[in-house]
Order: sequence, then structure tokens, then C-alpha cells
Amino acid sequence: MTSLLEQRIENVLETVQKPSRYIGGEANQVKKRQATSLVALCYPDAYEVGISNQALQILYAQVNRRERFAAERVYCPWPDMADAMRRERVPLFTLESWRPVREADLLGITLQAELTYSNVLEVLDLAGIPLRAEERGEHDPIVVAGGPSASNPEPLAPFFDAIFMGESEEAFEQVLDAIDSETGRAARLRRLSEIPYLYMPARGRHEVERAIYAEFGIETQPTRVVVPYSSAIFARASVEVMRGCTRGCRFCHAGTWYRPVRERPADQVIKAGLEQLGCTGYDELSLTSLATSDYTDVLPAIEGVKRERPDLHLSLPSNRVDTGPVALMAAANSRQSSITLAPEAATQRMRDIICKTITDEMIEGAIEAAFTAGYTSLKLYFMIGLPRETHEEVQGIVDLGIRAREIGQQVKGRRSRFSVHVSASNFVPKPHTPFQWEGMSSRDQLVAKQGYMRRAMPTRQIRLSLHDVRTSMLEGALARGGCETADVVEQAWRSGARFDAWTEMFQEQAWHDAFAAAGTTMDAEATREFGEWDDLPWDHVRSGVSKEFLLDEWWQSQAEVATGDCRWDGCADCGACFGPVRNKLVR
Amino acid sequence: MTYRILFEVRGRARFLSHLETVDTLLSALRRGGYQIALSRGMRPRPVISLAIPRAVGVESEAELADVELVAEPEPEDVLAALHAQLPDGLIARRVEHSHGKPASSRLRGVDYAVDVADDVDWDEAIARYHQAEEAVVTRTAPQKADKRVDVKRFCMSVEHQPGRLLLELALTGEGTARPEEVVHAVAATIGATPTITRLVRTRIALAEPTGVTT
Repeated sequence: MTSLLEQRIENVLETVQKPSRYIGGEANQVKKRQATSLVALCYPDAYEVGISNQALQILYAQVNRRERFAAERVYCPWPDMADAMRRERVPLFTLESWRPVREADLLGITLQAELTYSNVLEVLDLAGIPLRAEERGEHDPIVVAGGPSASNPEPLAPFFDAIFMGESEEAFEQVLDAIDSETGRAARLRRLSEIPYLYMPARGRHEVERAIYAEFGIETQPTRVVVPYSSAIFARASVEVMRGCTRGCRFCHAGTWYRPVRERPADQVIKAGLEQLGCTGYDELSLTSLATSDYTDVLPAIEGVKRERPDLHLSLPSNRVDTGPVALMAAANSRQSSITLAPEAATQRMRDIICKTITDEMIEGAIEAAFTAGYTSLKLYFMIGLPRETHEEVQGIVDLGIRAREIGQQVKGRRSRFSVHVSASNFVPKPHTPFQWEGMSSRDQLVAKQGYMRRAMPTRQIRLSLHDVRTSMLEGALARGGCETADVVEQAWRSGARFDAWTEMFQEQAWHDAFAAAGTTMDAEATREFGEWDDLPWDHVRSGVSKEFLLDEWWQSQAEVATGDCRWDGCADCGACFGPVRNKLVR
Repeated sequence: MTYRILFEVRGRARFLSHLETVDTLLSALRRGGYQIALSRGMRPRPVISLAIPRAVGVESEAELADVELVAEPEPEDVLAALHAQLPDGLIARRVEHSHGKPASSRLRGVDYAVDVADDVDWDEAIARYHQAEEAVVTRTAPQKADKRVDVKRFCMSVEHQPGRLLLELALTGEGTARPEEVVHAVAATIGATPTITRLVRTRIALAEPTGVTT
């Protein structure tokens, strides 16, 4: 029988764009009518962005393994839906059972990017949950954040009862135990406060550890993943072949946050991949990691999958720029016509500063290998605004784009059809990285550099795309914010900010006004430089990598010296390894 | 081998778009262990066609899909796989071998059942509608100019049952009428504005009686 709420939801769905975002019912969704505890898992962005998130897929399977628990999904309703829900008094609901999110015992929200912060408040408000944890009552769910952006919990701290640090597979069991064994909000919060991986903002600023899953690669990863309706941005099967990366790129948050490196053996990758393909019906499999060409079992994994499914699209994202990885990618997917290489910086000096240990010869060799392998579209990814960047570095990107075109013409002939796509994003310093002390380039500098690239880059066979400076500045201002930033986020949301990562939705003025109301500016926060002895807003979060190591790496960057990878060049004593937690390579 | 699938779209699945419905069918067949044949050319695509797009929000008792599989399984095995693999609201009813032109190129008409509030004197409205020489509605679409359409040219029959209108619409080279347009045009003959609560496609009529007809 259709409940009154269901009827109202259906009425609302008749009026919105893409109603399939809200209906649930996809293949492999889990619906548990006998469960006594509801855990709502939220990705605070549109369905098509959130549905493919691997971390939430892991958590969804993990919670549903418990008999008494049901995990149900929630995404941030698109503004047309949100407005209709408010108009018709429809509270935010889960996809599986269309139950109000407010009825959940626990609402888990993943923070994958700073530009989703305003959506966190949108989700809480639509659910009818008081924004500030201190205002919540006995019947409100316990609201827990997680995900990589939670590594600096302060900008959103007042909105969460608890903030989980690190990898969920093992440590989140303790959170579920607390919910399962205690009744009542106060008792549950008391029990949660004993977990070392949970930051409890109500207790004040206290130390919290990052949970690291030492057993990664031993267990099998979930294979019966929810199959989204066709609108998902990543509609393909995926197996995480390796977690962590020790290349040591100094701008990279994931390079610190997921240390050490742990690999999954090829036989498990093959088994999990084939199972997932069978359970989902996808015709593409992605072997994911932070740098799949570094995975020591990559060849046996590719060969094993190809042996069983010769026609499969097999993608290897995030690869090192070199001839070997290009050949690997070409072998894995002969039908693919485009390839992405990420030199990040175009001059050797800047690559030494950021610790990207590749040479001009490797880059040119990779470009030549790509065109020789038959790719007709080459995408080169760079960053601008990196620390100590000069005009030479920006010119270097233009020159490398032109050089790539020349190589393409040499390999394929001048009249052949191919294209080079140069993409440059704006560097944003992130917490827990060697560049955490650096300020962003100013807005004017970034705009000027982008303007120069637009003028200097030839347009024939080269396409240039540049990231929106406005949203980059906001990302920079939020990423390293302190507890005072929470008021800014709330004020901006109250002024209409939501879906900030979507250019057409970005309400820049709402953010400027919110920063001004807090007595500062977005640009001042984004370009702020910290002193090496400053107490950083996220210093109470123990990532495992020591501050001394990060500081030493920062100094090395100033000396323009790259550091080796501890997998092959000896331990750099970053602090991430202890006891059973250490680099675990298959070979 | 090409198969014709007759399936229903019920409940919340009516909010799937045409493309989402196609992808959901393909993914269910693949989960069932069947490989879909691909078209030739630079960008091979799965060989599948639905007889006629279904507007978002419209339920159906009678969708038709023609899909080519690489192997030649028995139709009842394909049906069983679809039963097991289709998500909530998409229900496979029949699978048969299909020969000749796909259903999408042999369309003759589409029937609908439209649930309406009975606050309109439908019998009187239908009588006046039949007497009128034309029944023009204005069709609006985003980023397109408004278009005036005489729905009588395309509506073969209108029948009233309690709480429901049954419509038979022709699909012609000059177009067709939308069911809600016909309902509004009928109500307009007595100056009424109808309340439509549900739209269900009940039949897709094909020009030749080969394969599955509904």
C-alpha cells in the first residue's frame, strides 16, 4: 500500500528533471525489511556523481553484512527537487525504502571534496535535522562524517556529532557496535567517544588517529554493487588493485592520507573483477588505484582478465608518464581512442619542486608511444599556480602542448586526424601535504596565467581547457580553514549556495558575502601562508605521516630536490608504517 | 539472433527515461549471461531498439524492444533471465524470435488508459468532441516555437469508463497526438480542465502481424 509520504514523493517526482535520481530500485540494491537499525549513507552531490563512489560501495556492503542493520543511500537532491520538496513538505528520504532520513539511527556523510560542503547543510536541512550538533535531540540520527576531506574536520565540525578518520573496513565496525549495543543518543555518543578514530567536536579539539586497514588485499572487495541507471558518470565495474601511493608528489593529499602502499594479488583482482562484471552487466572494468602502473601485479591481472573476457574494455586510470605504462594501457584496451597523461608540470625544475620524478625524455617518449599505439586523442594534464612558479613554467606548458602536436604529426603524418588536449587546473594546497604551509596563487595571478595560456597556445589540433578560478579559490579557502570557517559555510548556504562544484549553480557572491560577514575574504583565506611552527587547524589529526617528515619535504621542495619512493629507494621515515601496517607489495 | 521482448513498466520505474530504460534492459541481459551484438562501424553500439520512446512518468503494459544477441538462446531462457535480472518495476512478459523489420519501423498506433478525476462530464465532453470538426491544442516545448496540433487527426477513438479514458492514437508520417493533449482537448469542449492522475500505455500496434503483437 502506498503511504502518504510515498504519494507525496511521487507527486513531486512528476514535476522535476531526472526523477530517476530519486527512485532507487536499481539492480543489486539491498532492501532489508527485518533490520532494526537504519544507517543512511549520503554522498552530498547529485545521484550520478555519488552512485559510483567506491568508498560508499564498500561501506554499503559492510553495513548490510550485519543482520540487524540496513544501509540505505541518500544523495543531495538537485535544486529543482529540493525546492519542490520544501514546497510540498517532503522530507529527505532514502532511495531503498523511501523512509525519512531523520528516522535513521546514523547518518553517514562522505566528504570527498570541499565544494560539497554547502550540500552537507542542504542535506541536513532537507532531512529536518538541526544543522548544529548541539541543537539535536533524542530523535535525531547521529551524524557522522568521513572521507578524505574530513582530514581537516574543522570547517564542518559543528555540524557533525562525530567525524571518522581514515579507512572504514575494520575501524567502522566499532562505530556500528556502538550503535548496536547502546540505545539513546547520549549513551551512543559516550560510547563513540571511546573510539580513537572518531573526532567528537563536542569534546573540544582533541587528538584523533587515522584508521588504516592493514588487511587490504586479503579480503575480497564487494562485487554485488548497485548498478546505476544510465546517467552515472562512471558506469563500469571497478576493482581497487592497490591502496596508497608513496611517489611523494608534494601537492597530493591522497599520497599522504592513504599511506602505506598495499596491493591486492592478481588472482583476487581477476576473481573480483569477473564476479563484479557478472553481477552488474557492465562491459568495462577499471583497475583503480592512485597509480595503477605502479601496481606490481598489473601484468598478470590484465592478462588474467583478458584471458576470460578478451573483448572487455579494461581501463587503467592514473598512470605514470612513461612508455611502459602507455604500452600497458594500449594493451589493456585496444579500442580506446583517447589517453590521458599527467605530467602535472612542464619543466624539470617544477617537477623537482613538486617531487614528480619524471623527465622530459620520459614525457616525450610517452607521447610518442601513445600516438604510435594508435591513440588519436591525447590529453595532457597540468597544474598552474604551484609554489615558486615562474613564467617559464607556464610557458613550458604551452611549449609541451606544441611539442606533443609535433610528435603527433611526426608519428601520424601532418594531415592525420588527431588532437592534443591540454588541461590545466589551479593548484590548491591541501592539509597533511608538504605544501600545507603554502598559500594559493592570488586570483589575479591565476587569471593572468590563464589569459597568457589562452593567447599563447595555438588552436590548430590543440584544445586548451582551464579550471574555473572562482571555484578553485573557494576550494582553497575551505580546504585549510579552521573552526571559524563553519560560520562562513552556514552563512553561504543560507544565502543560496549549493552544488558549488557545478559551474551553472555556483553562487560566488553568496560566498564573498559570507566571508565578509566573518570579517575576512575568500582570497585572504585561500592565499594564507602558514609559518612552519604555526599550530595548523588540523594538527590534532594524526594521519600517521609525521609533521617533521612533511616539513622536511617542504624544505626539500624549496631546495628543488625530489625525494625517492620508499618502495624502491629506501625508507624516508615518513612515519606511516608501524606494526603490521607497512608497504605490502605482491612482488 | 534478434529477439522481441514485451515488457511492462510499472510503479516507480515509470520515472526512467527512454535511454535509461534501454540501458537497464541491456545491463539485465548482460547480467543474465548474454552478449549483445554490436553494430558495425567506428563506434560500435549494442543492437537494440525500443518500438517508440515512452515519456517519463508514463507507465506501460506493452513496451516492445528488439535486441540482437550474439548467441541463439531459447526465448524462454531469455525471459527467465530477464525475470531474474530486471530491477523493480520492469517486468518481462514475453520473448520471441523476431524476423524482418524492427517494431520501431512498423508502428501503426499506440493505445493509452488515462486515469482522470470524474469531476468532468466526460460523456458530454466526448460527444461534443466527436461533433467538432477539429480539436486544436498548443504544443509547447523548451527552446522550440509553440505548435498548434489538431489532435482529432490522430485520435482514432476515445472511450470513457469510470475514472478512466481509453484512447487509441495513430502514429502517422505527419506525427501523432499525446494522450494528455487529447484529454485536455476533450475536456475543453465543455470548458473544463481535467485532472490526470495516471497515464498507462496499453498497446503498441504494428503494421504487420509478425512477431509479438500486443
